[in-house]
Amino acid sequence: MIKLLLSVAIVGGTSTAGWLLARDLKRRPEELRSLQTAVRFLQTEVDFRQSAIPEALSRVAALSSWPAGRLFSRAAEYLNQGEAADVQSAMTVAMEEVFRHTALAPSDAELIIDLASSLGRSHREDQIRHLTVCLERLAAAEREAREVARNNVRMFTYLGVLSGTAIVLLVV
Amino acid sequence: MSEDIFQRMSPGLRRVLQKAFGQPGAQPWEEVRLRAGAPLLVVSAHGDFFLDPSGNVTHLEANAWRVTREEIDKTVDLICDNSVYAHEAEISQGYITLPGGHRVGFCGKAVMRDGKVFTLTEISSLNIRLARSVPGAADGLMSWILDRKGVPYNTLVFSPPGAGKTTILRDIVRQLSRGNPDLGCKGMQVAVADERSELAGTRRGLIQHDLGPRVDVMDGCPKAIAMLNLIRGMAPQVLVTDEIGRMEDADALAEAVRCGIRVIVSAHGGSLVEVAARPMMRELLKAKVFARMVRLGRSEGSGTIEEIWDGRDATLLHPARGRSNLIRLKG
Repeated sequence: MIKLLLSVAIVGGTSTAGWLLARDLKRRPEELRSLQTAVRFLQTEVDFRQSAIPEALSRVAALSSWPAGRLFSRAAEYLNQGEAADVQSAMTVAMEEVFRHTALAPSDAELIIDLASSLGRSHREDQIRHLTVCLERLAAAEREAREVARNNVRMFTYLGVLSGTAIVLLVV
Repeated sequence: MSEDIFQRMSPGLRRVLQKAFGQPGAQPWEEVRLRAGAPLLVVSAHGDFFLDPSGNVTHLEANAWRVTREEIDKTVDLICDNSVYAHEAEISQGYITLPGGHRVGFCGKAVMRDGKVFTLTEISSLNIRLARSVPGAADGLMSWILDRKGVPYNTLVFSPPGAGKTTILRDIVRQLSRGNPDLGCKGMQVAVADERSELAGTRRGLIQHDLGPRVDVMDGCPKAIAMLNLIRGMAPQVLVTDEIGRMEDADALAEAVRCGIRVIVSAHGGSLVEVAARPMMRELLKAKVFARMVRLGRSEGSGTIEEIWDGRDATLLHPARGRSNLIRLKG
């Protein structure tokens, strides 16, 4: 009876681990898509409304899904409350908070921090250039993430179940 | 009021200025001038002085706290709400208005496009001017510029920069809009063409100074266009604008006068001769548009009313000395 329970626990545990890894692989492209949508909204704010960055971030945050919504709203709060000296430090702190709850890769977070380093620091045309470059990079990252997900989601799911079964067969 | 401005300065600069002016009873200041690599200079009503790193007043350049490029860059970022692009038009004109109506002038490398200043980069100097809403600043002037019915004459207020034109004009607007029962002036509909966002200090649609209950402000729009729009759209009884100088301003003013609207305007100039050196002003003076012309100075502090003329017959009304050199302008 104990062996049966142990076997179930092992297979359950490895299957869950495999499923979680697979879920993160599936979530990453969606989160990258959320960031792209938010950056596109930001581009509109800068280009047409010409609203100041804290206001633009708040407005974009209200329109955006996870994780961009949370990320931008936290960055806006840091700026509005004067807790961050500039956009880059506000976005860096916000990203540190949000990142561990996302499926994003560190390189994805870097793209947003890079954008923040130039955000608001030049005239409109230059800002649009920076935002466009960031959008292109995010789109490339999304393509790569979808490719990785397509190749690996099923593998991680099966690997979880099979590795658990293998452990049970060998050990129990 | 100073605190609002200090929050928009780089941390180093803020520290020095808060030490100097953050305490109650600290002497009032009018301008803070930042120049990259140069000492921090403060202008007050009694002249200018440097500040040392502890915020103490000094007149020795060697002891003064020096402003770095980084301090200027950081201050520009904060002044622009970290959003330089949102202030592109203002930067290309050389100034930004802060909440509270304070004005920051810029100097730097101009980037030209199609023969116009597209933007300024490598900003090297900032002049931060404290906007003062001084209720009562125009008390000494109101009786001169109101007729027996309590309606203002067409009035020109002129002075060199920094002598209080805008402060006086702001209080005139407030008194006309709210009314001044002592002088028989009922509250009037006042329209303000505020091209530089300095008179009303409008920010995000909200007027930052107390201008009374009957004021409409066309903000950030070239004066001539703003005046014509105000005449057409807002049916003002009085039209006020700051620092006229272009020929189209004169045309818009003439149109307002033709419509029976009283105009109160300011212009740069240390004397009537200097004022009349501008062709558009010469035209206005020749046409005797202004029934009152007021020269402000600093002889008894900023905003001192030095002289008042009746522009129709060139009589010097205050101080009473007879006819003025305006006669020379008649030809």
